[in-house]
Amino acid sequence: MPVEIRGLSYDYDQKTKFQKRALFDIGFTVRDGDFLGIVGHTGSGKSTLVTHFNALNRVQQGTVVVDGVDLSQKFDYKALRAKVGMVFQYPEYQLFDETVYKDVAFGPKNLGLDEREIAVRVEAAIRMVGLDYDAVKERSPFELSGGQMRRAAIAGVLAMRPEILILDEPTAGLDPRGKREVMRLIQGFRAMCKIIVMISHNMDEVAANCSRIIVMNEGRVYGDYAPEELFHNEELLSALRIDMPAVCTLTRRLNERGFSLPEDTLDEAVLLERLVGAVRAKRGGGHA
Amino acid sequence: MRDIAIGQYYPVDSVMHRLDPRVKILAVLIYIVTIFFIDTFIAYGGLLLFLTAVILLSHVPPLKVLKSLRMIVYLVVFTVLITLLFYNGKPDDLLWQWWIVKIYRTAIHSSLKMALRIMFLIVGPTMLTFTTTPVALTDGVERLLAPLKLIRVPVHSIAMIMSIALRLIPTLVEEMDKIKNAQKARGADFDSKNIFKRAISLVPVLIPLFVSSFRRANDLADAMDSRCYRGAKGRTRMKVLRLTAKDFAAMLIMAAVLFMFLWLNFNFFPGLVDFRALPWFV
Repeated sequence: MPVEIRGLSYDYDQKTKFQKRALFDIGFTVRDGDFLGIVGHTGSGKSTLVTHFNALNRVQQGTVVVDGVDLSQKFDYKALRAKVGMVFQYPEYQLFDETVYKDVAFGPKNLGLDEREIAVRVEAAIRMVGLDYDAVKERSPFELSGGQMRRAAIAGVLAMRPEILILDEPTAGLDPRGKREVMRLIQGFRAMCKIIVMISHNMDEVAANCSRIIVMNEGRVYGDYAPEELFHNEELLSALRIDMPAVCTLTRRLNERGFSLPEDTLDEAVLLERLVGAVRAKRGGGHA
Repeated sequence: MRDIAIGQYYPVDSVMHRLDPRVKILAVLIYIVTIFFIDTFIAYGGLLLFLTAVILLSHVPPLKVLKSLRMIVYLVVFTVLITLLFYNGKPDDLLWQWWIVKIYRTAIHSSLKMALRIMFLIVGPTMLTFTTTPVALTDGVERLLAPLKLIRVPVHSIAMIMSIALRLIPTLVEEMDKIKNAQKARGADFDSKNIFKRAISLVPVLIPLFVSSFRRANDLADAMDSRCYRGAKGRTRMKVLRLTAKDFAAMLIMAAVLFMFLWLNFNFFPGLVDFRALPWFV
């Protein structure tokens, strides 16, 4: 189920006076099992790039091949969009139906599934995003709280059972607890989706969740990194003007204050464990 | 949706752009009234010359202006066909007949005039919006309607509503694109050949659009409130509109042009020049 991108370029307002190149000769491959993070500043082309995956943007130059289907040729849109699910920024703004059930069922219905299959998928999707199915199914999506609306909207995409899931800033505008919960849910989706692609400005989230990170800059792929490789490299981060995740900053600060913790983990739990170990060792040393 | 020409400002510098919006609004009103008064080809010809001059003076590419006609193509074609087919003329004007279809010479004239009228009606106001920023436009409307304040018409509020509405058109278009994409990603099909299916397929776009318009309206009201907006009372302006020499010149020209059209159309001075004597005066 790989996504292969070769020599992809894209112009906005093609053949007009306002023509502007948004993507320059992009090439990389996303493989099964990848949890790909795409980071970069506003206007770096992240969203333009990912909307090629489900053909919301047509390929102008180069090729995008999703699971063997070349998107620069003729292909079946519906089949592609069933395979590639996309959760947009602030997805709660796309809720429209009378009840949460009907709204979540919109995608599966468009795929032409039968009622029974739809019912099964809708229930599973609503449960998957951590909502109480019996409590919300008959309620209007507009009565839900902000966080619940976001989950309901994500369920609407999950109900299509996509094999590739693309999330554009899934935690934007949520409070810290809401952010954590949504990220935890997304980790849970890995059991269903072979590939997850997440655009994010929150480096803590990227560091804690992604298995691979692509940095975009002014319409080009600046680099393709393993998380540890990127986030512990201070020169690289400052060259890219990317914030250092809190875990790395904390490790550095602690080391400046006399600890010597290894700078190779992005996992808060691991850092905490090491810190506790180091503190114990110090105290032990002090007592001895 | 991206090529809605009406309400679009074309940012270049020209005499037309620098004219006072009040003058331009009045000119457009006069122009529209004129279109309804005249019904001879010779007057339409004059109108075309006048429009061409306006377009050239405005530095807006003529092609761009013509594009504003694109959305009324069907309306024009429909009007022409209806007029051609259902016109009841005098028997000696009959050109061609088949079954119950009768085409009269006068019907051809009448339908052509109708088409010209519709096109003129669109191009004139389009030139106003091409050369006037929405802010200037609403300013002008507010000042022109000012006398109505005497009979307690909330002129300032009307102008404010207008400017906000104009400002939000591009925002809503963008929002609609986003929602459309989101629903497309969920397998929605907006390109169905069946027109009813297509109308129904827009529901998942329009409802979120309404919801977000209300949300935006609320937010905007809060933002205005928090900056102590209290309507017109005690409010002064940063840019006060002032008529200059060129504005008076434009008004004079407009009056002259209006007179010309009426003269051409109604043949006021048959002793001086008799337009009716021209062979193509119809």
